[in-house]
Amino acid sequence: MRRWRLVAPLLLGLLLGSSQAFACASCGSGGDDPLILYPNEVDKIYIGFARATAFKNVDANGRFSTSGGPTAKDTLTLAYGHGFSPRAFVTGTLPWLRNSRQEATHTSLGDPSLAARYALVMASMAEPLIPQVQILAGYKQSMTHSIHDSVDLKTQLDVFGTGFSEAKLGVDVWFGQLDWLAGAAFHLIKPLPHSYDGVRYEPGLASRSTVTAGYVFSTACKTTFGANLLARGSLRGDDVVQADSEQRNHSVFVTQDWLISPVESWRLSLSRQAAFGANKNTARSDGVSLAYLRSW
Amino acid sequence: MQTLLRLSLCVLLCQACSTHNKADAPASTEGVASKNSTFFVIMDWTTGPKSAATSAATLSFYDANHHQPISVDSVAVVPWMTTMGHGTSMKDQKIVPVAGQVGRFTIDGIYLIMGGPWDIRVTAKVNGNMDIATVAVTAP
Repeated sequence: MRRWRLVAPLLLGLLLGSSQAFACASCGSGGDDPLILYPNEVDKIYIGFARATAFKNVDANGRFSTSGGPTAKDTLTLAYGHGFSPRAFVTGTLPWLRNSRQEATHTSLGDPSLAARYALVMASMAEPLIPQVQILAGYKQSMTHSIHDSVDLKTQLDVFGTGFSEAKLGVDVWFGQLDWLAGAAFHLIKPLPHSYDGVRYEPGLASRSTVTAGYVFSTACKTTFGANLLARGSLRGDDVVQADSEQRNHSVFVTQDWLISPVESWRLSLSRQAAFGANKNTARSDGVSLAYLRSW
Repeated sequence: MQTLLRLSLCVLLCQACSTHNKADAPASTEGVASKNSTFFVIMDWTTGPKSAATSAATLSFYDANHHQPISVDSVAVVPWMTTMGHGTSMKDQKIVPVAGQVGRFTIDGIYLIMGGPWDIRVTAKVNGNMDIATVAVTAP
């Protein structure tokens, strides 16, 4: 009995510690939510630097065409998350952006966003084939310049956002208790209409589907990879549907996580937008990001 | 019989050609009628169309039946990317009447900021009536 008193906390510690490497969510591996809290975490920060280059537009016919905007886009993302319980947490994200083209650069704060997740089904080491199931909601406030109100359209260096606030709802399913990882997430994204130059624009309802797979090499090393499929409906201008304005973007990512201490990790991600399939009215780009995460 | 058929074919071909050559309008370029049929405009690209670079064109205005060049009081040209819902930088764009030619203008400094399908919205005032024509173009 006395021995169990000593061993039980140790086993509990191992379980909680290993959950940092095993439990996860599909989107935290390369989708749009950079920060995911594990059940045992109360506070967590994310500091990430990302660079996107090699921009090439994909036109309405799915053909590559010239992109005249910045040649590089850098993003410094700061995110903070707070867990209210092992099932529920919220995150706030604020990006700082820099657009570059030859020698010229412009910087700006990006659009801040809030997100909340609630685990309907918790993952358990005892039943590893039962996935974690989370529902999520989020909101992104459009604050920065978009192509619709740019004052430097020739270089587009002052274009940092889409120009539309967005609300989203989704579900995320994650098998994270075995060495092999797998997950899928589905988001519905509703952009809010906004008027520019007297015209009321309303981008179409969008869906983002994410599929992720991965492997845990050790409690300190995890590799995940996957694909995002973004589909957006037609743009409306003054309630008139703009012909051929639907968007499609099929992107891929690979992410490497290193746990450097029980509460700290580094994450390196590579991604390509418009990487495969039939893309439309979007842009091809290659991205690399490095992030530091710490929890309390 | 074969000669008769050949002759008929020639007559048909000539008629087909003559419908495009009624006036001074260049037969090689398609034109567009304005929304209310106030004018007919032909846009000839002299440079481009290019994306992320400067293009140039000439605009030739004709009457609604595209028979005769017509005098135009004012012209405005706005490139618009309908599929994306945005325009482009117009700070370098210059529209200048061609001396000695009725209803003809040159446009320099057309800057299409990205490749893809563009609508060139040509607004013109003819005999006091304002009307708009849309010329579709795809920039590589």
